[in-house]
Amino acid sequence: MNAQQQPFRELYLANFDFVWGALRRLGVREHDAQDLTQKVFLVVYLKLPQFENRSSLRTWIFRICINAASDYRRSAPIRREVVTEPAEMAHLSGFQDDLHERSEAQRRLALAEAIVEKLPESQRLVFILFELEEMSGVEIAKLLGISLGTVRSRLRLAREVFTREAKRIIVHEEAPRKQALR
Amino acid sequence: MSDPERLLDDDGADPEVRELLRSLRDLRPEAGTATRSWGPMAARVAALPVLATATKAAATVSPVAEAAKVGGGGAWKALTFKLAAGALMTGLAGVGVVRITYPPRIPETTLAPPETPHVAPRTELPVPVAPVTAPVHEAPSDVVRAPSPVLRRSQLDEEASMLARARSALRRGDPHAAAVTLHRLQSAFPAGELAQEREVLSVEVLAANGDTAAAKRRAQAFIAAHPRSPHDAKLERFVEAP
Repeated sequence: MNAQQQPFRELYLANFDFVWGALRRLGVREHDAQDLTQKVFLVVYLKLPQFENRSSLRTWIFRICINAASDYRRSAPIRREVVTEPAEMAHLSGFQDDLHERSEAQRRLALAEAIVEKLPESQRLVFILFELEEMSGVEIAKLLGISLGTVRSRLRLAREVFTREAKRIIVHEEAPRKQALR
Repeated sequence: MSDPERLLDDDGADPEVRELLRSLRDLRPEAGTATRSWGPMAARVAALPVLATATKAAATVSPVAEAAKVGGGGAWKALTFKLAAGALMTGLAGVGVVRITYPPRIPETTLAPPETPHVAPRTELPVPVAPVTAPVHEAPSDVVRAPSPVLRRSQLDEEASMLARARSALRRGDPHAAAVTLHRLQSAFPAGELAQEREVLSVEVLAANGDTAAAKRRAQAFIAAHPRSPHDAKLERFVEAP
């Protein structure tokens, strides 16, 4: 490793998990996450001289993540691993068994990803930034270049969809269990 | 008006909904992934040519280190090193967030003429066939297993090293040697991680050898195949060449 890479290594190690997690929450599949994380860091490396400290380091990196994930979603076919439509679920023999074979945590994560996937991109971004990345409304408005009112409106709509879909799936999953217990 | 309470903090929110959200929030890579992946990352960074002044400046001031320490503060304004404007990016076509301005190319008149009598005629340079139709950002297969991280790192290191040798040969005015190395690189890593960089360098080699028509064709094909590639800006001058 040369002298120039050493400080970048520190930056990389300090922020790798953050970038990886952000990309995953933005819809990047697990087996693509590491490669895309490195591509984000290459952009960070190259654009470092242009960073003007108008936002925090992580916000700046997060913007790069958003662009990278957006391009990824456009270029790579996003295959849903979990079907959430009840009608489809009913026709997939063995689906429930398959779900139960997964660990509870994996099952929950797959469901959450599938629900977030249903949100329109504009709502999904605001939802993820507010609920999961824990940014404030003002920060999100600045990051996305939209008004605070638009942030709140999108957040409200996204919450409604997420909650409704989550409850629908939970109810659908619970029904067979309850029937089995009768 | 303040922000609403986050669902994860809201005791009144549905517990099942919060559980689903928590699973997303807690996503993180396997422990040690960052450290293990640094090798391939370093190889990718090493494949980016940096101006001599950059290395010199980096040795005296370490803006990245400062930034890493402060987590984004005023120190970032102190960035004093400049990455080579001609830096080649590794497979960033899919990222599409960088547009690099490239420096003026070294005039061909400054390239040393071939020194050895056995140098092949320009038209016979074995510049590898353009792999421009090969998608760089393919969705990984669910069936084919990827090489192990160690193997991938080793391969990437070797690929980056060969690319650096080819570039070095071109810069010292030996396009023939550069073409030979590129040909070997193409044979060894036909679908390598640095395929785009290899193709861009191939175009440069063709031009340096006087085959501007071929360079133009290859540059056009590359831009057509990778319309969002950060390399396009560099290749446009070959397309615009008479």
